[in-house]
Amino acid sequence: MIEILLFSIITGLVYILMATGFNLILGVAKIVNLAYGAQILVTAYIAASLLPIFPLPIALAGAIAASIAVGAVIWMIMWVFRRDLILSIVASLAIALLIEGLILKIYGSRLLSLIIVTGEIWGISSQWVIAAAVSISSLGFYYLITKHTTLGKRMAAVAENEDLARYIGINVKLIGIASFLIASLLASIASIAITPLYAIYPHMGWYYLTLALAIVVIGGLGSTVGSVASSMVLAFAQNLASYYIGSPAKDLVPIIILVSTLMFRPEGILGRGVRWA
Amino acid sequence: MTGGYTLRALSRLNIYMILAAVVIAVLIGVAIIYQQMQARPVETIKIGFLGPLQTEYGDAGLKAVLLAVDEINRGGGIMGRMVEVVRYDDGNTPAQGVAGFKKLVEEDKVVAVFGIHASPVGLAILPEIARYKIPVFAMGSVSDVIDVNVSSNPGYRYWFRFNINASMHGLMVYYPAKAIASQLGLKKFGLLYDNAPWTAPVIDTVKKAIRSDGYEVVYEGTIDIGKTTSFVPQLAKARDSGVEILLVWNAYGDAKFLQRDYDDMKPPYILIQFDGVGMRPEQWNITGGKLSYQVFAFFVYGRGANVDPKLRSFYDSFKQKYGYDPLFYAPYIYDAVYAWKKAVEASRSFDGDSVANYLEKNGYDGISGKWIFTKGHSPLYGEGYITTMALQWLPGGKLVVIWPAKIADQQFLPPPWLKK
Repeated sequence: MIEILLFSIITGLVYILMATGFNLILGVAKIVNLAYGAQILVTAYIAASLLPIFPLPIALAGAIAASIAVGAVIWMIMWVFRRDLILSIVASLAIALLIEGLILKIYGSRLLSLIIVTGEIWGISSQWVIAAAVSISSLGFYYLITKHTTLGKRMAAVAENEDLARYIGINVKLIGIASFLIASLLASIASIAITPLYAIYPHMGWYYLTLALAIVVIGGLGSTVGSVASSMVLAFAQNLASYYIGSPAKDLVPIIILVSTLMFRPEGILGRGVRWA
Repeated sequence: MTGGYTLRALSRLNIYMILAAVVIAVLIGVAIIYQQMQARPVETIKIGFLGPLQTEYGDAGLKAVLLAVDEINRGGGIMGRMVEVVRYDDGNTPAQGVAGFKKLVEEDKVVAVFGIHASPVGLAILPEIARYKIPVFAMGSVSDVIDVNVSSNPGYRYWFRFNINASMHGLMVYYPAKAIASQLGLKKFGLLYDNAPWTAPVIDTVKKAIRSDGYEVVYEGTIDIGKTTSFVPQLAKARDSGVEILLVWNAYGDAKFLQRDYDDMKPPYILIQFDGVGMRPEQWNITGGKLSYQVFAFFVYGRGANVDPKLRSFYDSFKQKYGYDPLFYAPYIYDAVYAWKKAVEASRSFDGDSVANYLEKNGYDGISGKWIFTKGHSPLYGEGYITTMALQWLPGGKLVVIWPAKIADQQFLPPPWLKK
């Protein structure tokens, strides 16, 4: 049982990382980026391709750089459509489908495993320890940026009131780009942390996108604490369901929690009354 | 006298001319026949490969068939005819399998079909086999239901499975597990298996065997094919249930995640598994070496100390041609091609009934063992027929045969964390 609890905490930490990136784009750039999962996908496949060829740091840096480059391209396309919610959703969907199609064409539909490290640290799998350490340090880094830098304060200003931020001289477009790039970085780090614990496959982008969406909705739009809470709730619910009921229950649990939240508490666990419609 | 001499001279001349004309005519005739023989294309005979070509096991099966055909053609073909392989990807789906089978038979005019991994594909093409009377040699499709169908319907007699059936897949894991249990005095078994029709007879057979041997099943879990990418909950549950040996059956490649998680968690029990895709030396690198002390049931393994020289020779040929050791199905389907060749040559016919008659009566002695078929056209399993083996991965990536004792490189080595 102890492994289940530990594993749930680790996956929960990675989920927080994922949801944070998604939330950042939604809050600052006001874009519903459905291609966010595709960025996680790109990082995983590029890391898997580079690892057999290059030393670990270079391979991982290459995968992260590729994900950020993809994020930059997505940003350029999404910026054009961002004033129209429907168009921006359709555009991000199209980008995600395109990336998935390319991955399928290049790599095929096989499930791959990504092995980054082997061995143990204090009797625990090194991979688990690293996933937790990377997630915690990335979240700490993100906290420092958002709370203790000018960029963070400007991002908060844009998220709060874009017009007012522009009025006081903040370059909203630049802040949007920065938020997109930081979100891409978080997505790629989350990918490198989580895929060695699970698997790489061409459709995994949709799974992680659904998780990020569910976390944001369950936690409450705009609530950081809510996202943290819902990430942990989902991770524990998935692993405990798999432990007690069986592996098919794992994918059903987030949907049940999401639907229940929308029915009984649409503003989310710690939301501030924001509703989808 | 002069006239007689002239006449004799003329006669001699005539004889020479006639002889010369005959020689020239014969030479011209030979030249024409030779030219015609040269101009006429060598007649080939086509066989089909129907299987999941996009998968590693499908690819391995095809490569083994191509190797056998290559060798046969270099040896002069079959009854003077070269063999050509036409391939079709069935995608492991019944609809594609039936469409592919019809295409191979009707359009490509193949005289035999090899391959077929998924049991639903095998079941779906049985009526087509009866319709076209084409011999089919399956490398997988191990469901016992197919055996029942073949034994009860004479029209399905053209189907031959060059692989043991699902029930025997159960025993190929249980027998070495039983030997380990006996070695270490263990009693409690766990069962983890594909959530698929093929494992139903596997589990029935194994549960009966476990109970009749006085052991106990304390845990049962399933693998959601293609979706179970973390086995942490299952492995934790098995440990909490008191499992001492966990037996696994996975045919679709998901077990590499199980192997990784077992190595990460190091639970206090032994892992012994049938991993259809993982029974290969390359599995060490694929899992990043996360295989130490794990036991795999293998169909055959050509690198053990006491291996049959014929099998070792096949391993060498395969590696020379493709650059890596043959995987899972390869030796079985390789045997199937040679069994078909032998049946055709013995009966002097490519006809399905002739091939089926021969194989039903004689079976085939191949690199994997002796193929003698039951009424359901599944091979007999056990010593003297088709046997399997168990191998253990040791730290550093060494793979050793541990069962059966007769051909074992060494005894099973328990993982050190069991002592904790």
